[in-house]
Amino acid sequence: MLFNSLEFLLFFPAVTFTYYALPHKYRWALLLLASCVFYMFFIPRYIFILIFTIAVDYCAGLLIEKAVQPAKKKALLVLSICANVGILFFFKYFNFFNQDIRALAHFAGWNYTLQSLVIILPVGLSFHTLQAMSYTIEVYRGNQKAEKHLGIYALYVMYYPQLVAGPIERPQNMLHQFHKKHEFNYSNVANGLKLMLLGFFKKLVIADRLADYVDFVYKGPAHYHGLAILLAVVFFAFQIYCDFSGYSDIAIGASLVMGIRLMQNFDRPFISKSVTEFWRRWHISLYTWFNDYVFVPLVISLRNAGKIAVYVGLLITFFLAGLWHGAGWTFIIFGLLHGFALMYEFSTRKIRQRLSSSRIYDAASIIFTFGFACFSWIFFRASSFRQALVVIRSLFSRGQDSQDVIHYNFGLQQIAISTFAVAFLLALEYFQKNKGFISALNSLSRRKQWIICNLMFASIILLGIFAKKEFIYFQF
Amino acid sequence: MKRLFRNLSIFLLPYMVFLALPAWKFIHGGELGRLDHIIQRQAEDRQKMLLGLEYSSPETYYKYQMILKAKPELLAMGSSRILQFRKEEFKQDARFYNAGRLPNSTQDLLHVIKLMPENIPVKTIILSLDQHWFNAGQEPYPSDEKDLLEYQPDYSKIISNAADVYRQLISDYMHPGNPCPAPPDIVAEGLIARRFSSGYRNDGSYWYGQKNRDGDAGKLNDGRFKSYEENLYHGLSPNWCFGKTISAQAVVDMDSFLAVCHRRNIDVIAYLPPFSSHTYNYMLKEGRHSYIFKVYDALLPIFRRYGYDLFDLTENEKEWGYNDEYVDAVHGSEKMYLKILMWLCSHSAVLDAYCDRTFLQEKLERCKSHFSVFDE
Repeated sequence: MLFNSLEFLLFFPAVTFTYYALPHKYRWALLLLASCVFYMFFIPRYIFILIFTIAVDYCAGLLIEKAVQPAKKKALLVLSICANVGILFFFKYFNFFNQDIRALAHFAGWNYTLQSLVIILPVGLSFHTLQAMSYTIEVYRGNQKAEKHLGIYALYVMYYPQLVAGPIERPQNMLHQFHKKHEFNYSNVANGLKLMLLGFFKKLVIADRLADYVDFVYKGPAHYHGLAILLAVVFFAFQIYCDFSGYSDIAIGASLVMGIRLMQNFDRPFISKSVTEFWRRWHISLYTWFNDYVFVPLVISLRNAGKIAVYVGLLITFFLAGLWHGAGWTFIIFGLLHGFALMYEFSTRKIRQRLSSSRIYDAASIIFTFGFACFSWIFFRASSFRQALVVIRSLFSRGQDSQDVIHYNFGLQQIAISTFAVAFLLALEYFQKNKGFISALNSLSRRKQWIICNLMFASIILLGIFAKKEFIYFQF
Repeated sequence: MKRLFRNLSIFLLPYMVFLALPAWKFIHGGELGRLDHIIQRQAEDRQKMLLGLEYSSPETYYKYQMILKAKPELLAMGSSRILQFRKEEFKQDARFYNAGRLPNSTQDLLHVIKLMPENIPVKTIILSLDQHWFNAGQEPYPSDEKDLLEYQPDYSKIISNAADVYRQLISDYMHPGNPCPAPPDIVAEGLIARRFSSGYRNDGSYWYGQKNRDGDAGKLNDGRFKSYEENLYHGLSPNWCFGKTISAQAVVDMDSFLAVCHRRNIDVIAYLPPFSSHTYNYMLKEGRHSYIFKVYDALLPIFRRYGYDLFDLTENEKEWGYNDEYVDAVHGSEKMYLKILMWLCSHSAVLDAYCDRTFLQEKLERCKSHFSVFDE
């Protein structure tokens, strides 16, 4: 079920109302049932994949905690991780690796007959797989007690607001909240609805509007040049930000309405002065997951190599992060670009620290970091490496078509609306500073709050694109 | 909880009021939820009806379901460029239905012919093959069999087009001559049909409405004509992207389609529809749509293999390139397509059996308009 659908408009209040009407002891069952319904709106039979991974990880958690010998604990952890990664590999990566092996075999003259599979990627697989793995890892590390209630554990994996596209939660944050009784709290409900409103504004007014232009240019980038391509590249940056952070806002807001707090996933990434800072503000739950479970263990295991350990750790982490996004070389390149950028920043951190006292340097850093992110997203968005090269080449070429495609396809009116909406959003983010949207909004007078909320809601009604476009991160 | 409901109600009330009128217009105007009922009434053909939806495009479902209900013997199929063939042009005993805009691609054609039950007594198909279906430089429209069988009205259109409804009301108030409703003996369903008398008739053909009787549209300085041409020239029209080569997949799809028709003993008379001469000459000169001039040669061998006719009507300035008989750069008028029908009849014995060319010639000669031949 998409958040931007009539079904969700009916589903959400029905579930929320029933949640508060039910006694606490039955609420986990309601949320679990609602999550199953939510998930089965996509491909119903894929629920069995979730059931399988839930069963494996639930048992693994209990057995790891019970086991005394470290070797046995480790074996159980490895088994659980293999089960999760195995399913992820089968549905997401099998065809990718199979194609590459076939190409290699063809080049080497070997006989390779394994055919590609015709399978649809289960929605949210990449997200709930990481979330499930973090549970067994935390139990193994002793940071989390194994969950004995199967229903609560299943809810931890399947909780509908964040099931499909995160934030990727940790068991320490989630499990105790499902056990806790949440009374109806006007503040939570009001704040949750405000956050959902912000999320829908970002998705319907900004992201889906920009998507029309971006999709058009990326269908045939060789036909366009210079400004038309530049606009598509910059628009995509805001499209993906508004799309993904919008989803996160709706997820966090919907959960907050029921009193359950999810982690922040975005924190004004476009004010980042470095790529390192960018990853502390962009898709925070993914970055912290890879940091805690890939980068840090790698660096520790290679600590004898000194700085090399950090470089190797960054490269491997971002290679995997790129691959997590998609089974394709463009995503790997996207990840590696960021990996190399972080390696560069790590090696030059002392010089940059000295320069960062200058305002001009800070401003230039923000612009450069934004530019770098836009450039890396060319690979993210392109359907192939070749197309990415065409986009880059066209970006620096000249042609008359630029004005035509802007004028005839998109129109100055659409550009004005998009620019205004993005400016409004950036202004909101600027004024909120590091307080967060809700805190910043609540610190204003009631009148100002009503004005801002009405501006967003009216924009959705008058300017929203209701063509039911999927969220970008659903494909991961 | 009470405070929440009170504040939510106060917040949402102005928006509910704002949306009330568009919601009423949509539901009352037939834009949502009555499609099956309309299909049933049009198939019965007891009363003249027009279906012209402004905010939805359910043609795939609508036309396919009409085929199942109307059970035609003679079927016109293709893009919007076949929609001017109407039942008055054929003999009375020919059960005719115009399924134009049912297929948007060769894949769609294949879905239709494979899904169509054997008890639909189609003997002959007049097929208009839109050239852009064969453009390798254009992504084909997504095609799903389910679209033929299922249709869900999209209620979010009330919200997304609410402002447009108010704009129209203001515009109609300021320009009272603008809306041009259908004559009282025609039941109009859908806002386009009610406002401009544009829509699909019971036989599936399309009427451009009362305003287009006199052929004001089609002249080169007409807004609709010009804007269509502009988009086409700049490769910005969704249908007319630039391209130089023919799509191999589309040719394979055509082969499969003809194979099924052949197996079912269905005659196929196909043509590549014309452009206005102004547009055609431009595309010939600028060369960025050069695939258009390769479609006929790519398809002819497969048509010949099955013994079917394929005619290249892309250009014929003398016969049907006359710009004033075009609605826009690519859509000809009823008059223009009658000329095409008569030409096809003179070159296809199969199609000729369905028409009385003497009668059609008389109608053509008596017609004073650039647009309409048969009165509504």
